[in-house]
Amino acid sequence: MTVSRPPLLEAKHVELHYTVRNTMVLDRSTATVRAVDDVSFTLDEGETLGVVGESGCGKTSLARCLLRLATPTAGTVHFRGHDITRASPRALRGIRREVQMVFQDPEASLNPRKRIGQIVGLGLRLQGIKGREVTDRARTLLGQVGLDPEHINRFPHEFSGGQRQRIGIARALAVQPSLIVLDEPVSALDVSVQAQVINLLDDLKDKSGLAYIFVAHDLSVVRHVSDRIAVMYLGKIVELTPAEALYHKPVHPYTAALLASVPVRRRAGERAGRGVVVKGEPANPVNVPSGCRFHPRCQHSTEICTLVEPPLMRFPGDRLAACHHPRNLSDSEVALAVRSPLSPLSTGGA
Amino acid sequence: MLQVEDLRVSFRTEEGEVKAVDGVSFSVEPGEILAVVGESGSGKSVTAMTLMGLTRSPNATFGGTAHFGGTELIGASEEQLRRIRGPEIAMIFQNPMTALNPVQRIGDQIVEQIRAHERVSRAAATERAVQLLARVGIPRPRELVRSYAHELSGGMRQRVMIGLALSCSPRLIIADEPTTALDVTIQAQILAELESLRADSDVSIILITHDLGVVSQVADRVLVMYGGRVVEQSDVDDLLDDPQHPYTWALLASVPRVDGEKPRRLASIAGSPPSLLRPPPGCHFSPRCPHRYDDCSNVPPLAAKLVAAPRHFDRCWLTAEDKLRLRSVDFERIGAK
Repeated sequence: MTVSRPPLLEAKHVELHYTVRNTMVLDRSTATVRAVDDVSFTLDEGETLGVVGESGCGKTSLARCLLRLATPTAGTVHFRGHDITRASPRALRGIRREVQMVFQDPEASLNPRKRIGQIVGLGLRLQGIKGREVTDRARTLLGQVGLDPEHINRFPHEFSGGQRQRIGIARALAVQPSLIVLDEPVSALDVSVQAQVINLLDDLKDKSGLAYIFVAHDLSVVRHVSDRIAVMYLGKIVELTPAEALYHKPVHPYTAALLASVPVRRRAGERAGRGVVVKGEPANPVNVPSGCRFHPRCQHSTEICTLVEPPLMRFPGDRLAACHHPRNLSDSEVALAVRSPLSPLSTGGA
Repeated sequence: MLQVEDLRVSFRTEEGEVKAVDGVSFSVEPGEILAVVGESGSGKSVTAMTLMGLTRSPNATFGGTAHFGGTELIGASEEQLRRIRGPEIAMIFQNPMTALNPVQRIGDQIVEQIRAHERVSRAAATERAVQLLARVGIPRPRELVRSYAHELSGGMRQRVMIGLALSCSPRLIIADEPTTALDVTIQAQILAELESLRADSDVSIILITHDLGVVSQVADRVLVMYGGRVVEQSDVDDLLDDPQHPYTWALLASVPRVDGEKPRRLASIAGSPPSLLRPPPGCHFSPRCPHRYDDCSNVPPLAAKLVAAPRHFDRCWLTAEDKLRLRSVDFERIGAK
């Protein structure tokens, strides 16, 4: 493994805050929704990062910042060393050839009045490719994602949900990107079809060395494609760990809670409510808890958790977690922990 | 308690007749949780809604029977249904935001339901609403009884739906994907709520879901539906330990898991579910089934074939021995089990 190669994508202290007005007519006060709150990570060429969290944790907002579909209110995103947070529209166009997105709802993200050949071919046309070559390339792409190239003149409504998501993937692949940001690409699909799409993404990655950022709301679907997984809670990354380590030895109590909440088979005589490991619900991102944002729901929380925001610490095995009481670590592993340079600025200096 | 025989529901559409439910039979015993599992378009929701008389329309035709207590539900008058909905059978819908009235306080909605069925004072009904909200885990029920649906989170709204369903002490609750719209940590809380409900009373629950994880955690018996038909029906343990229908075992293998070792590859089922407008002849799963053969162009009967499990039914022509062999080959190939 080479050390000197710069990362493909580097997010530094990315922050996306929205100002919301109070809904009362005479009340002009405003509040700030801290959708993404100082998030940093790097992604290497050909790597897949899973981003997981419950609704409102900021995972989709973060994905949008990475393509500058939303402009971060602070922080930077560098793609191959170019800062895309301040790039001109012209420069952005070049970058978006390299970074593509696949959306959650294939119904809403495909133009119903365009034939799929046009949908898949648009990116190619924008690159100046013309005529027959566009059609030929579009056919090849449809074949690559497991659709019949003969269907190139059909409309999106003539396809099933799983097939439409394949069209979205073909469209993203058309411009030969090096990174695809996938926002809940299989959440709208039935489980048997979901497996087809996950396997397809896996195969494409093996063949072409693509990097993915795979956003999902539960840990089960990202397992099969991810090299590393970032778990988000209320706008912050609470754990960032190589994938298999996360499933076997989660460090952050919230990660452990997400894993334990996945329903599994009840054994004979087991009492009800086995899966309930966290009480309550995530706080409102307008009014986040002090200290560790997870502390009101955490069964391990102590006084320090209510007062001091834990920095993102790097534990042996490249496991990063922001917790005062990390789990599944030996005393020697805890002793070897160092503050990660990815840690939020608000957690103090290195 | 509930006995459904050969239920058929079809809808006339511009493009032709859609047989949404094609001969479904099952029963529900007091105090049990029966899960109906299937993918979109399998007919699971239409089956449940038909029991409540919610699929009636000029374009719908019905066949078969559904006996509940002494009443026949299919073809019951609106007046009869009104007496059943609430005190006998209650329903919990997938999306509480659209199921709750947005301009009526949640407490008033519960009070309205109680007073529609029982002669009690408004004050007494309100007191019961507070008790119900407390029972389903709503904090500060006396205060929140005056809130509107939009002021509550998704999980809290679903708790209100459960409270509303319980308000007239029904004997059967039909829950249609009650946790699908919820985050996984909240889903765990709601599932625990349903389990404790069943433990505290002898209410029966029909749980409609696409999630086999949910089924394995809370169900007693399972109905697997595909293309409008029941393809397998058994106790939950039998189904998970010894699935008999090739669709069921493919479905089990395609569920991504967080426990155990990661399989090399997720199992997937080629193709997509059938169009019920033009369903394939014979077994509806046959076009996607890797084990189909000539017999599959005829519809197999739903039959019990295992001597050891007389309550385990499946709709497949393969013999039990063939299935055992083919299933182990399938699981071997994908590295499952």
